[in-house]
Order: sequence, then C-alpha cells, then structure tokens
Amino acid sequence: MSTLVKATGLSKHYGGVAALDNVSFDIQQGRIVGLIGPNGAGKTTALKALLGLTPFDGSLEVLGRDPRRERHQVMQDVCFIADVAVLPKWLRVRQALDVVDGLHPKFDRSKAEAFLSRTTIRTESRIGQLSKGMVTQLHLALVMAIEARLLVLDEPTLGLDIIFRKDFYTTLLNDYFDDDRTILVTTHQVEEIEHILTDVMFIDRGRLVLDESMDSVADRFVEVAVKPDLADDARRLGPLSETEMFGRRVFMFENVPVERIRALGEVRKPGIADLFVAKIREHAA
Amino acid sequence: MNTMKTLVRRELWEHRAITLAPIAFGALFVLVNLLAALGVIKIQIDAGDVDLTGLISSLDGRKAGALIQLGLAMVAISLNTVMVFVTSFYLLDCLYAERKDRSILFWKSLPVSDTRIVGSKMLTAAVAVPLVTLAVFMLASVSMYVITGLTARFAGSSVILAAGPAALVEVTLAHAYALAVQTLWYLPIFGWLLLVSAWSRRAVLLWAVLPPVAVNLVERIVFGTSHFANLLRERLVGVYPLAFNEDTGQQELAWQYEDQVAHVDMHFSEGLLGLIEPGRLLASPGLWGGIAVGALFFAAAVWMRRYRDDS
Repeated sequence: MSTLVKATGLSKHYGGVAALDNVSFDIQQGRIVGLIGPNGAGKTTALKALLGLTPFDGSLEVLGRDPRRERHQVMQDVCFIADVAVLPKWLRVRQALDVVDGLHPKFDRSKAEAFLSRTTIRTESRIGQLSKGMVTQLHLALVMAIEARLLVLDEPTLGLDIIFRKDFYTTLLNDYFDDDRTILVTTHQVEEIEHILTDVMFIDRGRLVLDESMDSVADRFVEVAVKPDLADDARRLGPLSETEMFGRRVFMFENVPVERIRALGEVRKPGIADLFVAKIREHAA
Repeated sequence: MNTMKTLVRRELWEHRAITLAPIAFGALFVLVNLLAALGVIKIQIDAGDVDLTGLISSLDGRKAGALIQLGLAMVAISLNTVMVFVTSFYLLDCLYAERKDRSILFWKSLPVSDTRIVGSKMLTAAVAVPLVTLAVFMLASVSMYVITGLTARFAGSSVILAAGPAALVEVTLAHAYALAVQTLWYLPIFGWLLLVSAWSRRAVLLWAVLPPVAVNLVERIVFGTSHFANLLRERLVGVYPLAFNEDTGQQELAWQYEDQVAHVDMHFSEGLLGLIEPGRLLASPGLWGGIAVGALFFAAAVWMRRYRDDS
C-alpha cells in the first residue's frame, strides 16, 4: 500500500471564515474514500486544494508532488469530475473524444467508445443537447478510459434521477475500480455511497471530525435499541446520541465495550447517515 | 506539438465566427464582382454605347497587372479589418466564457499547463486566423480574377487573363506580409484582451476599453498632455505607414482613356511588392516595445488563469 495523498495542516480562509482549519489526512492506494459534510463544510475547498485549483496554507502531496507548483503533472494521474455542468455545451461528443485523446497521454479512446456504445448517446450530438444524466455518462466514459491512479468526484450525481445515480456507482465499481485505483468522493447523499466506501471522513466547519476505515467504524461505533425502562442504564454509559424510534430509545455509543451494551438490547452497526448526524451534533455542542 | 494542434482546433470549434466571418466577407466580394461583371455584360449587349473594348484595350499588360493588384489590395484590407474585429472579440471571450459556464473545471482536469492553454489562444489569434484569412483571400482573388478576366475576354481583350497569374502571386505575397506585420504590431493589444478576458468577472468589453480611456483622461486633466492617446492611435493605425512605402513618386504608371461616356485618369505604382518597407518597421522601437508589452500581458493572463479561483 502506498500513500497517494498526504495532507498536513491544510488551512484556507475566505475573508474571516475558515473553509479548512488545520486539516490533516492520508489517502492510501486502492481505497474508496468518502468525504462527507454538510453544505459549506469545506469539502469542495479540500478537493480544490488537492487538484491545485486554489491556493492554501499547509503542506500537501498528491502522488509525491505539490499540486500548487506541479499542477499539470499531477493531473496526468488524477481525474476529476466536478458536477454535471462542467463539460462545455458547444462541444460535440465526437469532439470531446478528440480533445481528450489529443490532450491526455493516458487516454484509451476505444475504451471510451465501447462504454459510450452501451448508452443512447450519439457521437454527433452537442453536449448542450444531452440530458444531465447523459452528460454524466459521457464524462464517466471519458474518465474511465484514462489510466489514472486517483479519481476525484465532487457531488458527481447531483441533480440526477435515481436510475442514473445507481448506474453511476455500479459502473464505477464494476468497470473501473481495482486495487491500483483510488477514488475520493464527496457527497451529501451518504446512504447512496455507504456500501461502496472503504474509508470515511466527516468534515464540519473546516475541521475533520472523523477519519476512519469502514471496518474500524464498525468496531468503534455501535447502536442499540433499548426498551424505555432501560434507558437510564444506557445514559449512564455516556452515549454519543439518543433518538426515539417506534417507541424504543436508540442509543449510539463510541468506544464502549460491546459486552456492556449487549445487556441493554440488540446491538447493530449504525448507518453512516446516523453516525454523521451524531458526530456533527457532537462537534456543534 | 500534437497538444497545440488539438488546442487550436478546439478554439476553432468553439469560436466559429473567427473563421466564418472572413469566409462570409470573401464570398460577398466574389458575389459583388460576379454581379458587376454580369451587369457590365448586360449593358454592353443592351445598349452598346459603352466602348468596353476600347476601354480595356487602352491597358497594356503592366498596367492591367497593377490594376488587378490594386483592386485585390482593397479586398485584402477589408478582410483584414474584419479579421481584427472578430479576433478581438474572440480574445476577449476565450478565457471569460470558460469561467462563466464553469467548463474551466473540465479543461483544468486535463494535464495541460496554463501557459499552453493561454498560448493556444494567442496562437489561434496570431497564426491560425491570419492563415485562414490568407486562404480565403487567395480563393476569393482567384475567383475574382477568373470572373473579371472572362468579362474582359467577352469584351475582346485577353490582357487581364494574361496579366492575372503574376499579379495574383504578387498581391498574395504582399498580403501575407501585411498580415504578418499587422499581427506583430497588434500583439500588445492581443495580450491586453487576453488579460482582461482572464481577469474580468463581467462586462469584458467595458473593462477592455475603460482603463485606456481613463488613463487618457487622467493624463489630460493632470498634465494637460495627450501622449497616451497618441501612443494608442499609433498602435491602432500606425503599422501600415511604417511597413509600406507611400511615396507618390513611385506611382509611375498612368491609365488614361477618354470617349463620349467614359473618362479615366489614374496614376499608380507598378506592384505592391515595390511598396514593402520591412527595414523601417524592424528598426522601430514601437514594434519591439509592443512585443515586450504583449509578452508581459500574456504572462499576466497565464498567471490569472492559473490562480484565479471563482468557479
């Protein structure tokens, strides 16, 4: 396993507001990392720093290079899908293939064409005439045909309907991802990518509030539904959060021995969305 | 090299006006020429009171060649004017539009440096578009030569058909020279437009025009002088007087003809190449100073595109 991204003490201020406040993290090769946070938490700023699109303080290495100084060399091995709107509307699909073919040394045109032939996209169409979902398919086709090491996705399925969203991640997982590739994805629709992530980072108001592999999330956090009469016992164990569902109190615990919790009720793995809400509330408190 | 080719091609795909405008104007000239020729033939057949044959046979080969060059030089100057307009609007738009529609994020996701991207836009304006204009001019001038030559043939003279090929070569060379010196002279303007395009958040045209106007006004009010205005005027219209000889003593050819309806008395130079004066232009500080200023603006535009973050 090699470290693809190494960020130490990243900070970025817009006016007096900190978009990133002394953030440090590593990303290892072969992982699918979800960067999750509410709107305005600093997700996009972090990605832009990584892609050399914005100046920042702190140290950052992407594939051993500083994206501030060696941006276009970094982009040889990093692909990026911002959101559905960034492909130029005047470009024809065929011209988009020509452009990437002419500009990216690691682009395999036949791969992209094979992928496009499975869609309803016609090569003579202008991108402005395609539906949002088709534009995303096209962008995905271009990106999947590039032999890149790191793929950065910023809300890639924003504004798409459910069929396209499902397809997007299925295709990515089946036809693209392998041990040599690494994906960093931001979204606020956590449920959608939960099952494909290997690692998760929560970001809130410019700070990382969680940075764990999914395996250790399962070890560290448990959720238990407790009958009302046992609720006080549960509270004594210092739960991370407490909610009510179907007449039961649901408690989430962090780093509490599972044997002690088992006595309270049925123990289960918390969903990332619930964990996210609990951690953000904890950070806000 | 391949990268630059792709980048320039992409510019021509996006900004079709920079090639379509010269093509449209070239076609317009050919059309007007054709209608005029048909008109002359019709008058000749209907009325017969204009002595077309007499008029044309008063020309010898030298004079016919010089006249062809003169007529086509007018076409070339018009095409160049159109080209300068569309190129200016292209340069103002090229770095602004990609920020406005956020497609800059797609272009920045490709492993191409900002120097190359901005360089491809300069190359489009300074090389690709002039080459297109020259090609349009060559096609138009050959068409107009054929139309006019055949009309004269109909009137009984082969003098235009005969003098044409040499005149076409000479006027094409002169046009290539004019395009080259004009482009070199305008490099600081091109650089300025690129910089405004990379910098401005809105109203690019206003930002391109207002600062020079403001500098001019301030100079007038504070110092009561107008050096900057003179500098600007020199930059806009000063290249042809520098690059071409306007010595009227060289206009040694005369075409004189007189009958009941027509009266011709023209004096002109034998050929355009004789008017070319590259030494004076190459020795002028305005050329080299302008290129240096253009390079500064270009570097600033590259820096802007690299570090401006408003997506």
